[in-house]
Amino acid sequence: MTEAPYLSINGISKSYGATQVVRNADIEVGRGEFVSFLGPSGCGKTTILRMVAGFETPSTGSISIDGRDVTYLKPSQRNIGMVFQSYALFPNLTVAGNIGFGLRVAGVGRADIDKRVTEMLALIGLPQLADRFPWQLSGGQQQRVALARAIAPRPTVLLLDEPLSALDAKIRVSLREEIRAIQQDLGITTIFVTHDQEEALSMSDRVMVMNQGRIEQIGTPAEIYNHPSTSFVAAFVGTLSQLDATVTDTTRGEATVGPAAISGLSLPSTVKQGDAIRLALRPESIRREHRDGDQTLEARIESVNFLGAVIRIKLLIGDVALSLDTFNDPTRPPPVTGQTIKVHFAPETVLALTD
Amino acid sequence: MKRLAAWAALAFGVLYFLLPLLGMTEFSLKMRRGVYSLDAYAKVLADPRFQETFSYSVIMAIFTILFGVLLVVPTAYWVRLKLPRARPYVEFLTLLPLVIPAIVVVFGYIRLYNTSSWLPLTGTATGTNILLMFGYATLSLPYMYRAVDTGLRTIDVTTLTEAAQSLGASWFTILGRLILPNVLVAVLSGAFVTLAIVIGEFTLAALLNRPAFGPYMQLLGANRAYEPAALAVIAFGITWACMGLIQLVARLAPKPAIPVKD
Repeated sequence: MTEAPYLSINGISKSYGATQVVRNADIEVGRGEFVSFLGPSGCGKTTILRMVAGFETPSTGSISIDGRDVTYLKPSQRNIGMVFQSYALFPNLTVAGNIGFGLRVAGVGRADIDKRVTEMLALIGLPQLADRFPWQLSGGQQQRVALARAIAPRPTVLLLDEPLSALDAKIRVSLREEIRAIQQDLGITTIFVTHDQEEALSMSDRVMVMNQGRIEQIGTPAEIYNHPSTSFVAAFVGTLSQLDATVTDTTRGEATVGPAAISGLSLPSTVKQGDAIRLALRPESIRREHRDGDQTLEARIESVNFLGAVIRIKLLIGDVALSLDTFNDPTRPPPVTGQTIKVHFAPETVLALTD
Repeated sequence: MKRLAAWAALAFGVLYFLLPLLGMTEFSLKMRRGVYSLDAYAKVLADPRFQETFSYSVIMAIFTILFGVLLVVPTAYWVRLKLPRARPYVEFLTLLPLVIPAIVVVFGYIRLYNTSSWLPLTGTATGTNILLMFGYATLSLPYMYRAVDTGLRTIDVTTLTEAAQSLGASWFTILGRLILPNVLVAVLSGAFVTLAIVIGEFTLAALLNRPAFGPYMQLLGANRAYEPAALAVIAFGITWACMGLIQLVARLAPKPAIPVKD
């Protein structure tokens, strides 16, 4: 992010009694940027979102939007749009009534409200449902209406609190594409809270990974996935095989994993010969076909999981477990459990984790 | 065999409740010797004191309901939203009128608000009416609070409030435009119970010396034969009409937003 931040979260912490749920979080979000907060349940991501919305007050630190300090403003004074996991549509109002609610509260004229509601209904692709009540809609439709309601008053920031969690898998995928398209179309600064890494990686400009109230890493989806800065991020984002290794030669980047030696690793400058480190490999980095420069290991097939387009094979090298993903080839028989095979990977795809 | 026992139990229950009602209704129709007639009803309805006391009690009931709604809806909402731990204590407080007799309440009122007190409400008719309304609201509090609290349980109060706040709504707007319409059925059921209580209440009105329907019924019952039975049937009719209205309104109420299947 090169331009001045639009939303700044400066050193905020939040404690409930003796329990600190957010620890000194600093985040800067650019205008029109889509940032996802990703982490396991209870990591503090929703608490930060709620502090931005004004539903919680930070114990320390400050929050500003477009240079204006909003830390102690009431939620109703922040002009922030929020979409909730449980939709939170007003049951007594129609779809049009829900979408126009924020505008009516703001004292906008009837004609302007009608115009904006029509615009919003067209944007979410539900122009025919204006007179329906929430209970007459499917979950996906309700969440679209909730999104339209949140953006109708033209908020400065859009907050999405796990908006897809309650939906079926197929609807979830289509709706996340719609949300991203609408966000890009309107250029609205957006924070998206999720514990689903696929959602975070596929929708975001940047992802912030959190654990136990701390920010572990902030980066683009590719940075987070390919270059995790901590073992937590490496393990939480994507599937990862972690191998305990011992450094044998720092100049050649060599380490041993069980009986096998791997060289050409990018080892951190802090490690010394004889240090115990952890090597991590993504399943898609391991191949059954050899390429120039590859490291080769001999492994026994422990189990084979057929996932449709992909076959995930669990391998054992000595007593160390590895996962390998290979595309399904209908012309070839699938691998057989118990078989010993050779697997290959490029040393540069191995992540060396020291923490 | 089990089915037979169930039918027998049902028949016993129906007879237990209906027989006295039928007996009373039949008696109320026997004012004219030898034939059934509506003479007792005609007499009751033509009595100016009936019209006067009934109108008075209906007006008092309307004010009591309004006061009860203004008191209970924000309280129950706030307790659910901000003070969930205080809920058992508030519920206990609202149940107190069930165990404290009305005569204790009214003597307390008279001692506190008599003409020589710091707030002499009993000094004027309006003041006494206000005091009586407070008394009625106290008596109906257990029913009104429980009805509203149950209504609030059917909606996600916290999330709806937060959604409204994020859209710029004030507390007044949230309560008036969102919470109240969504618990309207519960409020109405509480309101109808309040109406029934106010229409039949005797102790408070008699001791505060107000021209209410309860004391009139008691007076009539002590001095006449057929009219009290007719009056009781009329009172039952009013109560059942209220219950029917509750059912009708419940059908028209907004439903919780459980989504239909995708």
